[in-house]
Amino acid sequence: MHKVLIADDEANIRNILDFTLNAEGFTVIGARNGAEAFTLALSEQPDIVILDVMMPDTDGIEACRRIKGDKRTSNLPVILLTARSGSDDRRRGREAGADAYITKPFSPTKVVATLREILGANKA
Amino acid sequence: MYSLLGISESLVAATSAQTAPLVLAGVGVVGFALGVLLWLQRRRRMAQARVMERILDGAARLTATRRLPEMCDSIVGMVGEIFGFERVVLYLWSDALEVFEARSSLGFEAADGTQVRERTVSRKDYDALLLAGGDHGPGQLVPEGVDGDDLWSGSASLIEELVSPDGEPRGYVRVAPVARGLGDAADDRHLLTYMLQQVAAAVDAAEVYERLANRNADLSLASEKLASLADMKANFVANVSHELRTPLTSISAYTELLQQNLTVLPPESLDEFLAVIHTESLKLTDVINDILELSRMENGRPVSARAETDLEQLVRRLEDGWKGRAADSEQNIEVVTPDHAINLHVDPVLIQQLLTHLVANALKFTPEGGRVSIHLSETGTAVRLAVEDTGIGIPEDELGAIFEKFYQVDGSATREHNGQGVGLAICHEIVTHHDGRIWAENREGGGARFQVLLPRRPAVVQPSGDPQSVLAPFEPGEFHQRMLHWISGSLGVQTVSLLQPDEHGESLEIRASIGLPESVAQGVRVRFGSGIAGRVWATGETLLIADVTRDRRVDREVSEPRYSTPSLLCVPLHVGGDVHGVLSVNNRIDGRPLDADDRLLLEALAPRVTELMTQYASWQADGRVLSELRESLRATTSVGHLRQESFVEICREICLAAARRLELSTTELGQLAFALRYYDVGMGCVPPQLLDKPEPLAHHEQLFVQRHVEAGLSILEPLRPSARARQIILHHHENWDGTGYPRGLTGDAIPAEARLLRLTDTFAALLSPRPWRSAFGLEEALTEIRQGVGRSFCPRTTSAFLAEAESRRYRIIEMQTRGADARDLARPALDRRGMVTPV
Repeated sequence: MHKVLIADDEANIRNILDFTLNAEGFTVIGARNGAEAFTLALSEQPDIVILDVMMPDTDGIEACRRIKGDKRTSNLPVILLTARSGSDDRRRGREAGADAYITKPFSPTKVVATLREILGANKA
Repeated sequence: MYSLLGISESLVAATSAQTAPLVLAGVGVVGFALGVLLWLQRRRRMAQARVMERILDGAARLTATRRLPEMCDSIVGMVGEIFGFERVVLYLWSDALEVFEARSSLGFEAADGTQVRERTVSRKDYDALLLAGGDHGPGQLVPEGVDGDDLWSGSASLIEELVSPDGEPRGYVRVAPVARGLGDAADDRHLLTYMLQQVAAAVDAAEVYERLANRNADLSLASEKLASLADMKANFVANVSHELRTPLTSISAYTELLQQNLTVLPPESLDEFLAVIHTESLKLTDVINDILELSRMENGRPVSARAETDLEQLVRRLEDGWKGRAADSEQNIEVVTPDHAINLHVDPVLIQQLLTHLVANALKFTPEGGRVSIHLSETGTAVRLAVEDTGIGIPEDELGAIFEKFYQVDGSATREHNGQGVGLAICHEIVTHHDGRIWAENREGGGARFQVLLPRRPAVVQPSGDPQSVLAPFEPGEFHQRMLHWISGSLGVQTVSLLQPDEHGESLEIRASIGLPESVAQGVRVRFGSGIAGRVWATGETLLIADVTRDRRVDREVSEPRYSTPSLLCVPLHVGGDVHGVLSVNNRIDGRPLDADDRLLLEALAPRVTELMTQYASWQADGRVLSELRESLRATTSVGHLRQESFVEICREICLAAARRLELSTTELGQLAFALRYYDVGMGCVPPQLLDKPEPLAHHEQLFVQRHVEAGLSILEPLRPSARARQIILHHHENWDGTGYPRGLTGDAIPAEARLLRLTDTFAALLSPRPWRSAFGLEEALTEIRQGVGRSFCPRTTSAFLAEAESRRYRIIEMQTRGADARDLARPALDRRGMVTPV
């Protein structure tokens, strides 16, 4: 069973992803900001991380950079989630080492599909 | 000193006197005479060549000078030295003042020489001078005593125009004395013309250079502004996108979930999901409404839906809603209002929006357990609304910018508090729409305070309606309304009436008035010569009456009920030699009697009013002129008046008293009174972040702040201030030692009134708090002024100013101990932070 870490400051978003992913057989851990996400990435050892870009204090890009820059977590796949559609964010996300990018508003089913795709590719 | 003109005169005298007899005397003699003549002419040509050489030399040297003041001194020096004139003055055209300004002079004794540089000559007077000369040779000979200017008494003088290479007149040089016979010495005058042609290019270059230096400062600030505008635009897109997508994401994700799992979901999850969708749709609606509202406010004013509204009731009605929202996040709401109605003529829907946004904003930036308080009060003739919180506060240098559209202090803070800057931008639009002021400040001990001042302006009664047809941007009746509010705000009076003769010219009737009962305004007919207004109409003289109830000129029975304070001031509106109307004011808001200072100001305003009224009709064709006039009236009309004396007022009083002590003429006093009232209006054009910046300003920022002087003049322009008033305002930041701006004038070259204004401005500023310091005590402020003597301030005017300030010592101290109330209302005028309204 895969463990997914979800960081978003909007409780609604965390809840819906929690609900959907649980139903699909994932274990879900929630974080409310980037700093918390990094701490949980270290302590909980998830299989994949979903980070919202616009979060207070440490934003998603910064959290991604930390995860990818740390030996202990650098192999962890990261999916960025954001309300922004600007190409600048995509570029910054790529530079920070993100593996995929999902734009809000999103379809929960598609999130699941993206997760499976990345996790499958990782296994192979 | 070598004098070419002297030589020429003797040459001319020699040739004309000797030629005729010599011809008769015979060929041999003719040969000798020719020899002499040739020798003389050769000598003369050599002299001319030498002069030419010196001119070219000088012109070349001038081209290397870049600063205009130095260049003016050099030109005057050259004219004096090369041609040997005793008195030389260089005048340059000033676009700001629309007059020729004396920029440099030579040969005047210190006593009157110091006065020379503050002289100006209007275009009309200049043209008259040229006509008086009646000479069409190079240069213009002005006979003695033509213009009554004492600088040029004693002999004829010569005027030579300074024309730039592109044919634009730049100014002129006037020289004296010009001895008799100069009319024949055309060659020398040609040389002078030639010289000025040479230097005109250099003057042109220096002016261009000066303008470029200013332009550079403008440009670098503009580019900063553009950069921040670009940032703001990027933020706008990002924020709007974020604000719209966040609720949308929840709505679409939850809907999809419902669609896919409708049959298997337990009822409680179903309820929960539907509730989320509902709440998020409401949020989305709010965001969209805000954006639409802002765009509506910006695309022209919403149709006026103003009505007499009880703000106290409005606030109380909203209170429960705020408390509900605050309780959700464990915040406290406190509403402080007086226990009586506060009626104001406003658009109730807009004011409710204003309150809602301000409170929502405060709640957003206040942590759990914090407190938001809403205060509604009356201050003088304004209603004050303050929303305070115990939140994170606002960085000092961002205080002015937060009203900009979608400005965000910190992107992450936005996120945390789930909202963007649309709310404050809407607030700013609403307040401006009501001619009010809004500003933000940090509270001592943490948290922010948003303050709003809404003016309480009495309705203008216009018995016969607005007589002229009305074009945009003025609404029907608005022209008179703005003009009367401008007068009432300028003098701080409650009652103003504008009376004009009826169509038969038999009696005066009220054209427009504020503060009078409608029945009175409708019914008043004043016969020629009777009552106060009738007398002013008949005599064309101002009447200032200390006590109407005791003055025999007043018909007590009619007048008494109208006056809550006994004094009254009534001035004629002159058109040519005729009295075209009468302006009458009374009931000072602070309850004090109208005095000589008020008289000075109203007499200075009267010609402006006359001109606006007579020109209004002809301006109608030009929408741009009218919209500038409207903005000018709006910017110069104060928002509220205290019911007690304010710092600004006492500083103005000190200034005028000092001016009287220095024996300025009544006309000069009037123009000073006018300048005192409006000199600072240009401050509204300076970005607040520069004014509030606690750190020293960079050079280009300083230059930008300095431009407020010219900006102010251009705001005042539609009101057609007199040349003298413009000059006082233009020079009110000059320093005695020449280190001031914009012209760097030194000493007595700075108009005396401008020197007084400099003192007044500094003194008033010292007595008020600034973001980076608290207010000075009276003694500290006086010491500060004393220490500036010789550097910033003129010794003579300062001693007059200090004497008058000292004699008002107790009133100032009393005002200072009375505290914040007086300062708060003075703030938009003095401290400028409030003047973020576009002007």
